[in-house]
Amino acid sequence: MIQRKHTGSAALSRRSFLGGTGAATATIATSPAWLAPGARAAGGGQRDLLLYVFLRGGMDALTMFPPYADGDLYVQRPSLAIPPPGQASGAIDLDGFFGLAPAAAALYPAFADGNLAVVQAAGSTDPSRSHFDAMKFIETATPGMPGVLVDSGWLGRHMLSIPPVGAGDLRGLAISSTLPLTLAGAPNVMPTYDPKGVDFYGHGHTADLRRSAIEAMYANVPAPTGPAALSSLASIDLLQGLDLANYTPANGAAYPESEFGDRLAQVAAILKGDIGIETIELDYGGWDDHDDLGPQTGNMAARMADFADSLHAFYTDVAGELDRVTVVVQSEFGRRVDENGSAGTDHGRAGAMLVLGGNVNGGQVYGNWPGLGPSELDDFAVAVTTDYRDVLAEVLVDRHDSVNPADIFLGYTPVPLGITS
Amino acid sequence: MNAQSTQSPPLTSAAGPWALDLLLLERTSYGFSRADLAELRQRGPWAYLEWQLEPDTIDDSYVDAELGQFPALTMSGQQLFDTFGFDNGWLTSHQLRGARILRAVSSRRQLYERMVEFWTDHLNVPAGQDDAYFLKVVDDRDVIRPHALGNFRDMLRASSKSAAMLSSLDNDSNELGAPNENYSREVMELHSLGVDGGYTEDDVRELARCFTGWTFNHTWEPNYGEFRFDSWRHDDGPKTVLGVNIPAGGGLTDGELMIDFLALHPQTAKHLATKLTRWLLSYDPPKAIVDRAAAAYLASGGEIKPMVRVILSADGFARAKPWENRKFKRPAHFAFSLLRALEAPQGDLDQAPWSINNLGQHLYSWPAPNGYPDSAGAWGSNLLPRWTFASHLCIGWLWWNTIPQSHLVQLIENADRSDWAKAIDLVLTGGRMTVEERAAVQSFVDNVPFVSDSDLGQAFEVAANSPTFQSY
Repeated sequence: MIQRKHTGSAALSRRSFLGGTGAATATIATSPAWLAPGARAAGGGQRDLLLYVFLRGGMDALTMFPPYADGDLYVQRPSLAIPPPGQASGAIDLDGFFGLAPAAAALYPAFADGNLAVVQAAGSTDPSRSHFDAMKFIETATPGMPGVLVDSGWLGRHMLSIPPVGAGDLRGLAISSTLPLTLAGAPNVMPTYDPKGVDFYGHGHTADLRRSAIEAMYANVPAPTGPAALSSLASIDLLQGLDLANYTPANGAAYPESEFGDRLAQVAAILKGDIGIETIELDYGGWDDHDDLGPQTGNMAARMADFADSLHAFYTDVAGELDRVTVVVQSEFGRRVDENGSAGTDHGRAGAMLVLGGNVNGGQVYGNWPGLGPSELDDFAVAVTTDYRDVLAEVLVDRHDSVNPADIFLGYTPVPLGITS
Repeated sequence: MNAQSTQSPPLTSAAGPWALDLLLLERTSYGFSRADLAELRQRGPWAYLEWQLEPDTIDDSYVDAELGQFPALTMSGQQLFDTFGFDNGWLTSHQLRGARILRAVSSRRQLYERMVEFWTDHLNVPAGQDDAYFLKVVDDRDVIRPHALGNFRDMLRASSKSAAMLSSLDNDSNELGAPNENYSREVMELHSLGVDGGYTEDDVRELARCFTGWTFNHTWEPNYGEFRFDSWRHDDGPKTVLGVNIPAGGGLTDGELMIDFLALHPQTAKHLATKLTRWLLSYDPPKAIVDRAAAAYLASGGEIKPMVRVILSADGFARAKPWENRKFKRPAHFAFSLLRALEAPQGDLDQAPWSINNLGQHLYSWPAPNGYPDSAGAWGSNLLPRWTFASHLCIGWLWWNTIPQSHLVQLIENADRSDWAKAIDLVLTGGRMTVEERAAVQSFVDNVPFVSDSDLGQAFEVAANSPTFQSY
């Protein structure tokens, strides 16, 4: 738990002391208080907000979406598998073959509404079971391309390939302290740990001058720093204009009081504020359950509940904007099928992806299930039968104006599954 | 690319305004300070480097005395647990963070502290929960710091038996018939061979068998935090790892043998040399330097100093051209460098860690085992927090370290207002800001809407937020 509170902080109260920081707040034309019905800031457009959620650590898809009808699940995981539907603590049935872990039950309404799709046995074609290698291949979209060294991410290349829908000063955010590799190379993106805390610092009476100095000094600095400096300045106006700290979710949506819940609420506010931000990446770490996995009440159950409850709150909150948002969730790999000696699981291969949105052909589980029999496994793990790039490319083409995804994916020709429309 | 040339070009006027003394100072420290530059000039650059390579010979009595603020640092795991308990466990790592800031800013053993940071990331153990809070304090003292400029094999041996590492990578539950391969994978991928080091999934599994039974005394056991080998949980059958045949019955020596094997493996030398060259010199490590550093490592049986000497050599500088191929300061480095250049007071070190946290680099808290990234791609676009930090520090608003504006006047030796940009540049960088940056600072000074006592602090703020001051 990161603690950001401290006592006696002059720094934190500075803004109220100054009554706002001059230029930073004065330029805001629209003022969500919190956003009158029908009111929407200029600058946005028809392109969806693409929210990409990366579950870092290797999320165990066999626990979140158990293939309960595959009998080998219970052979391989005698103590960890979620029981079939109908049994005590059993899975919630999704399609007669796959279920949903009880702890993640909050995902069910979106699935039942047809707005959430699950893709099972999805992943990277690179066999690496290193977190960092697997993430690198996924984020740069270079699996199976040994020797291809790129320092841009697939989302970065995609953003570079499409024109901005608005002014383009701030086209993407990562809600984190560092810029994820996925977004590397994107124009006008920045990471921020806490969008609602974005503020212009220092003395109010010189704010304009100090901003001008920053603009002058960074104008010719190469990426990522130069463009990010200008996006940072733009973000002050745009994000402060949203008054995120006073955001009130709609439709009675109740976000968990967790980091992920808080961040998703801010994403919802940014979506509704329509300030020209086209993509946001959210990382959710901690899925590396080598020991004490706890599928029903333990570690992973708590994390699944937080994840699912947060996503459900978001789904509820943005019901009126669901046609303007697409959420994609993935992890670097799934886990080994057999449980290890620590009531956990080690690194595996295929996992699950989720796609949520108003234009998602949801309510079904996509993918070809390879089976969990000993001869069907890929070195003790679920074999990858759906290339994660197929899912991403489809979303980019259908919902994010991508024209030639083969360029984004460095020559790989994606095969759409029909998840989005 | 400089990496291809075999002749070593001279360190010449190509370095422009950069003299060797400034280049060497910023690559062996947490940033420019006039006091350290004077020390370096007095000793001469290469003698200074040799002096920095022998930290035990450097008088650091100020820091040594101030470390008394942090009693947790000298305690055993058991003492930490008995004194703080789970409820206050976070305070132990909090003390370590305060000490880290003190050392990075104020220690005269600057190169040593830079190396401590390197190895802290290399053998990363996040101090983020439960007994990791206690165990990281012990790990820092007993694994990282004793060997940071010593011998890597010794460090890896200590790390492999560190409760912090065993706990962080789950080896305490790795046992006969129920292996947990987490540590075994990372010790090869991250700590030694590197991800392209040529091991297979079978090697990971076999190595995990070698480490079965390696555990530590938990909080409910006597002598909490000490390494323990449970022979009854050890898989004592024969094993083959990386082509090494390990006969049955080796017990504890299975893992010990493999640690030594991994530590002195040529792939490990290559991995460490590449990473350290990147850390000390350039994001684009010159191949000739990496090769020589790796050779020096192997020839010396895993010594770290010979690698540093190769990397921070005239040839290293000439090939990497650090005057034009700049690295981006990570957030903590940025904060430390500004505190150093400003000769800031020590401030409240109990509060300081939250300030670094707000920059986006909470110390000892990178959650994954690979440590904080060392790249401009990761950090180079998160600017607002560091701009804010610099502003608050320079204008006297930082809640834990309030610099009187009169101190800044002294720093620029009462320079005339029309010379502030130049004077500030000398204080912050030794005169390395660009013409455009100095012009932007002076333009700010010349155009403030009304003259006030805060103007100098604000001019320092603008200069500290220049691109030049973000890099090293």
